[in-house]
Amino acid sequence: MKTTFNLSRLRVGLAEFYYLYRKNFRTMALLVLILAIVCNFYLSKILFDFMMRDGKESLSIATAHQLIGGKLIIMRQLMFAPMLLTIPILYQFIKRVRTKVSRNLMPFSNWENTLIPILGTIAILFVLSVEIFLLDTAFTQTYRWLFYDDAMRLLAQDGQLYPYIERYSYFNFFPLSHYLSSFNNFFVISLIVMIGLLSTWKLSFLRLMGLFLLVGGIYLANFWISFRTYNWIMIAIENNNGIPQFICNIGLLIISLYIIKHLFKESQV
Amino acid sequence: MISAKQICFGYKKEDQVLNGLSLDLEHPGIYGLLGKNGTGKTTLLKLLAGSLFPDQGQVYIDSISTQERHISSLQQVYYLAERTESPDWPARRLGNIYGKLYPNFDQTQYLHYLNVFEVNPDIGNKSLSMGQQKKVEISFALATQVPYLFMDEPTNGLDILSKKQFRKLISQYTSEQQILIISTHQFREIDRIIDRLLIMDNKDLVLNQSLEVIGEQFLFSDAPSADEQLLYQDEGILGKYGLYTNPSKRISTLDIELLFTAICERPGLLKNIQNYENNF
Repeated sequence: MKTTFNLSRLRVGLAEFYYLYRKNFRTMALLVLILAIVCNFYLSKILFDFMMRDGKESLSIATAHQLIGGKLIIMRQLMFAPMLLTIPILYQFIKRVRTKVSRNLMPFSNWENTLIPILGTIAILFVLSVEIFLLDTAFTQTYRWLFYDDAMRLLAQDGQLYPYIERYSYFNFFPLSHYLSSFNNFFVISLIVMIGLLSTWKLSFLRLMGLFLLVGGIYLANFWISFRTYNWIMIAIENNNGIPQFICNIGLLIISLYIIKHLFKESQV
Repeated sequence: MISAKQICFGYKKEDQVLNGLSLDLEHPGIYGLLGKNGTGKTTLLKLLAGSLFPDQGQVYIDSISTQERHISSLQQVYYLAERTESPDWPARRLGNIYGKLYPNFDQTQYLHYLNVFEVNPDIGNKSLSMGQQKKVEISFALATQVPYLFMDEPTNGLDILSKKQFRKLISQYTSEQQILIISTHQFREIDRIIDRLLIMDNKDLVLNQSLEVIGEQFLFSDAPSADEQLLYQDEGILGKYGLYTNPSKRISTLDIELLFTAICERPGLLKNIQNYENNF
């Protein structure tokens, strides 16, 4: 019987993945932190203005409207951008398997070589999502603690006794669906990138850049669609939600796994 | 046993590197693989190890085709590349992680080899010199204790003392069941440790023989007797030193360089000699 999958070898592969790319992972985590700080202190300016204000100055009505509005989605989307750096990690992993003879000949089966980067990517995306969740919780609580009462009072004075607080306002946490859809987007992108990289026989820098631009373009288009969805409610059925989408993703995952496994089988160095 | 049957291989369709090469590796020992630049030594090692697949023919490791990339086959082979390929890890971690993939890997032996080479196992690979990185890879390759170990120019980048240590480790720690092939241009570095000689020329393996049999068939001498016929003599050599037939089975010191030059310059030299232990 052919031995195609072994848990202890998979563990070795995942340890290899971790030790090879932990620096990239740290960079991603640091970038998320920096973006969260920059977005909240510089782009929105609410916290920055609060820190720079004179002691007696209170919240303005414009800021109160900004706080309950949904425009933070743009900044919050940015926090997911560092996850795109999984693409260079996948590139490096595949390049290593496809160009280093000693690595190519190590006793890993095609299934193990397929699952190592996929599980590694899932782990990276998961940990970064947890980091974003913690940062989002911290900042949202800060906004609530510093501004909620004042904002409600000012809005009531302005005639809005029951103001509509947007789903993506500064006072609300990210909904779970946002994490799921972002996670799903990056995971699908990772699978497509892996198939693309494995399909190209020689991994030149230009091809990588082409792939990067293509995937970046898809990401930006998706980002734009998300922005329109949440602000103008132009699309009735949200992207990446519901059972049909879930079934579609499972199908995509299975097909991708088989394609990637097959492409690894073909590899010669 | 590793067996290659009528293998052809080319990186481009119109340019074949190997053409109809057959080889059986069944006798354990240390093989020296020699050949001119571009004759396909590295390609042959990669084909035997399963890193490349032949365009025609098949390579089998214990009756399993290398193209199947079967785990049991991969666990029996280790290929040490000419250029260092290890990740930027300390040597100890390299053994801790990759060592688990090889059933006979011995971490204690690995650390011992590193100690012989005077390499600190806790320093990152990138902080080591090229020669030291090579020593780490040689130590790892030896510690895997795989039945088939292929080394492509292993002594490149090693200083004189390290080359000595390398030879010592090879002769001391290569097991009697192991087949070790060392591809090199440095004849003198391996002539005292090899048991068998493989010589490649013209896209094929022209010699695959034990040193014992070579010694019985050729005489390297400057004092031949009347019945010993001169086969080859280097230009510019004073006296009678050369390669002779050896009808009376006299014992002489093997001169690999002379034999190799003779084979390359006189392709018909091996016509009447038992140059293959397996006649395909």
